[in-house]
Amino acid sequence: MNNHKPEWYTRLKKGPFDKPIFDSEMQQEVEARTSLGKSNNRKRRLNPWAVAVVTLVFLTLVFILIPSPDQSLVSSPPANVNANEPTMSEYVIDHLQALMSEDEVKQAFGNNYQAQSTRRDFSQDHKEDPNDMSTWSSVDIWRFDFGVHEGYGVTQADGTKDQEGAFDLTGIRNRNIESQLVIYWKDRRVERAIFKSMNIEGDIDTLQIGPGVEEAPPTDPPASDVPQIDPSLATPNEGIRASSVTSKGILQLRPLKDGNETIEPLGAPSCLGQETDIQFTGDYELYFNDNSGNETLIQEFKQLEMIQPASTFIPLMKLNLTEIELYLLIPRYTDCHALEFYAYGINKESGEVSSLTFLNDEVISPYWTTSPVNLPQVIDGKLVVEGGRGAGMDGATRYVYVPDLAKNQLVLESKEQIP
Amino acid sequence: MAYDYLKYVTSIQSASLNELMRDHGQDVWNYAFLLTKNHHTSDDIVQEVFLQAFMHISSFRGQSSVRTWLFSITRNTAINHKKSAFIRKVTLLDFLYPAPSAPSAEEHYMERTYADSIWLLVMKLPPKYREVLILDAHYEMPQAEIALLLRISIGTVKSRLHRARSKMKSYLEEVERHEQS
Repeated sequence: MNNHKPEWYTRLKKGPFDKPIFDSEMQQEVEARTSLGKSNNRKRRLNPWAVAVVTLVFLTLVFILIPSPDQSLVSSPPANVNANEPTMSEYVIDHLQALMSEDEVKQAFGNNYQAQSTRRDFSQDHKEDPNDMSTWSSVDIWRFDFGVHEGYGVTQADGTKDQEGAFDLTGIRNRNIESQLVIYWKDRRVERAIFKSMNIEGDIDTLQIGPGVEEAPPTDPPASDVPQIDPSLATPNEGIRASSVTSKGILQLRPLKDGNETIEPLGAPSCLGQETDIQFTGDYELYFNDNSGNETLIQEFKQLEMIQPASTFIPLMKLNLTEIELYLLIPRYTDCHALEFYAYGINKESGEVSSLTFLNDEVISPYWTTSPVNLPQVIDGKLVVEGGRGAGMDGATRYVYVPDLAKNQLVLESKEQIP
Repeated sequence: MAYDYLKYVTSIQSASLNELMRDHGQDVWNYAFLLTKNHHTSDDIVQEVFLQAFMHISSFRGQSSVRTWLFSITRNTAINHKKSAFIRKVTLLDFLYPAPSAPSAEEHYMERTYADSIWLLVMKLPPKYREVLILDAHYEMPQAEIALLLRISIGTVKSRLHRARSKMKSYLEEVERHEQS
């Protein structure tokens, strides 16, 4: 392709709008929601006063939890040991950057550090390898020890030869010391820094900050650094994607043989799920194999999308109505608004299996939607479905369905607005 | 890279989130709008994107720039929003009037506030051409990163870009003819 860019490209540099739209109010809303730890419930604009109060409470909590800069971090009260572990790493992320001066570091982390220096003479044509400290002509480090238990003497290792050497890993593993921060200086500025602490699983987490660390192999990488993608992805167009054993036989959702099914990791986190979740897309058929060995096609799906945390098949959700066993196929497990689901009924008397449609105010729908948090349930012999929530909505709708076996339908009996 | 350290962290402090929002908030909003053409949906998406970034910072591994990572989340969120049966069916059924065939008052308003009339033409492009053109022309994203973001080959990026530019050229010629007549 011709890489010469058209003249009108310059007109697209600016815009699409003159004024910025993502403003401080929207930022505050995100901050408020992060402090509440919610991602998928209330999405409508919050009252500015409520935002201000929540932000204030959040900042107060942060202020209380994060150690004061001029406090001796070594003498953190043991009562706060567990609470301080995540806070300390967050504090490091927040308060330490490459190129900071010695005074700035002292201001952030105090004066209680151990310094080590070494100088080496090399020939003039010597080249330093940024990942091999033994090739550096000078190494200056400061080591901060946080949460040292009373009576414990931190092992004084030589940290000028390699990055591991600076740490008392045995002390951290034995919980005699909560965490250590080692700062490497270049021209009296922070060149890089490594922070190690024990996480709740008992592994040592390593945090690296600063330029030049991209190639430096983490000495003890946290488990979360390793993508958890299932190595044994199912083979497209083969196998079973969803299944449930019923009293009359087995329901199975299978991809069409010779179909166009794709199976791949989601790739990035979103409302749909985690990046390592598995996304199945293609044409599928739902079969019922009765206890006598007869197979019946119940429903065909064109370009159905399913997303699940694992590559194995998913069970259908079972509910029990008076006259039918109800099975719900929910292709995805999470969403910011609502999940689609399909319903199947097995007549308890005749054993007949049917795909059920939803009749809502004279509109027939092949599927319905449910809150991802509160899944459908049976109350007083009726199917109760809490609808999803979206931006600008003050609440959700709760739907109550009763089965009409003659028409293979779930008929909306009533609905009500809920907060 | 200013955000290099993010690939080593498993949680993100509020100050870092602020920085991310300050540096990339408008870009993410614009990208969401260019995908959805809807102001309120973009508001919704941009909030969700930064919340996802906040909660899933450990999934950022530095294989792409922070912006591309945020765009990737934006894209997934926008696609999900569009596909959501809840938005498509339930909200329309219960809460909204039937969608009018003519542009809404909001669309008219948004059109009037474009920084340059050329955006009107860009928004006329089919989504797959519009997206690749915007990433190339507006965000100046390298083609390899566009391919990574859209999960298509570089060859496909090039061909879509070629078609997008051709369509833009014909739109611009049409405007010119209209102005001359």
